[in-house]
Amino acid sequence: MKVFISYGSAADQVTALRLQALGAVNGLTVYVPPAHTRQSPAVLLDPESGQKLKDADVVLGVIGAGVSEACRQELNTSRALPKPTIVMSDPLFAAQLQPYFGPNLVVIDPVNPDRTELAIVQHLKSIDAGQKAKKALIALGTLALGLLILAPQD
Amino acid sequence: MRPPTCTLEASCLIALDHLDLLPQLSLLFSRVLVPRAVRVELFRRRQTKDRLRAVLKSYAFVERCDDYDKAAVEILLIERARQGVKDRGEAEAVGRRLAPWLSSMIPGAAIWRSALVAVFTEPSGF
Repeated sequence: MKVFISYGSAADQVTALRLQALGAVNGLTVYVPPAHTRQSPAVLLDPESGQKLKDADVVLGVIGAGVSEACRQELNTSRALPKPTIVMSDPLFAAQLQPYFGPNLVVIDPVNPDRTELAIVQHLKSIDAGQKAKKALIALGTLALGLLILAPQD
Repeated sequence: MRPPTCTLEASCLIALDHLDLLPQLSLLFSRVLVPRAVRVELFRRRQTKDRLRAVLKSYAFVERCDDYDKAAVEILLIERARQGVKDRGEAEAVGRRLAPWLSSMIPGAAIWRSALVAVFTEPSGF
């Protein structure tokens, strides 16, 4: 099972790398784009990221600290391909992302994480994906939820 | 709660990179700092220079660090010079460790670890 993690900004990469490590020990091949793709205002999708996106079975978006152009492009490409996708977002960016990602968007509620979990499950019920893909997405989505809520902040 | 942070010195950075374990440091630390002297040391050889550049470009949580206790570094260097060894990279990694918010460091030489534990014991420890 190949997973592509598209993170919002360079600050979100650490969450993506933690998910990559946790996914790897559970047999998932997780690709996290390099940080420089988030630091330059590139108009075109990084070729390596584009290829990994095509190869991926599922796509997970992690947006906690901001949304870069690269992240927007990756998630739009994932929607166009189309790939089973979940975009986990901080409530701060929900309004900005809702028009683009609609039902793929799961807004993190730090006060009621069970609601977020329910939103993930409901979204997975609505998408057309294999059992393995759904399992991977629910596992990684839940881990992302925990990491985004519990990670210490400055 | 402050994000867990560590300072790397040259040999550790090379070893972790060689084993492709740098991304896994993200499980333990939110920030990994590379002091100036460590960068200077690694920039002396083309191979390590290219790798360090690639690491800094690829991982946002690995950061350049120029903010450390310079007086402490000089004192540590004097102590090391008495033993006939000069390693500014390790001294700066240790100097960075002295910043009160820094939770950990990964030094290469055991002697530095024991010296630090003896002198600067903190509840967070190593």
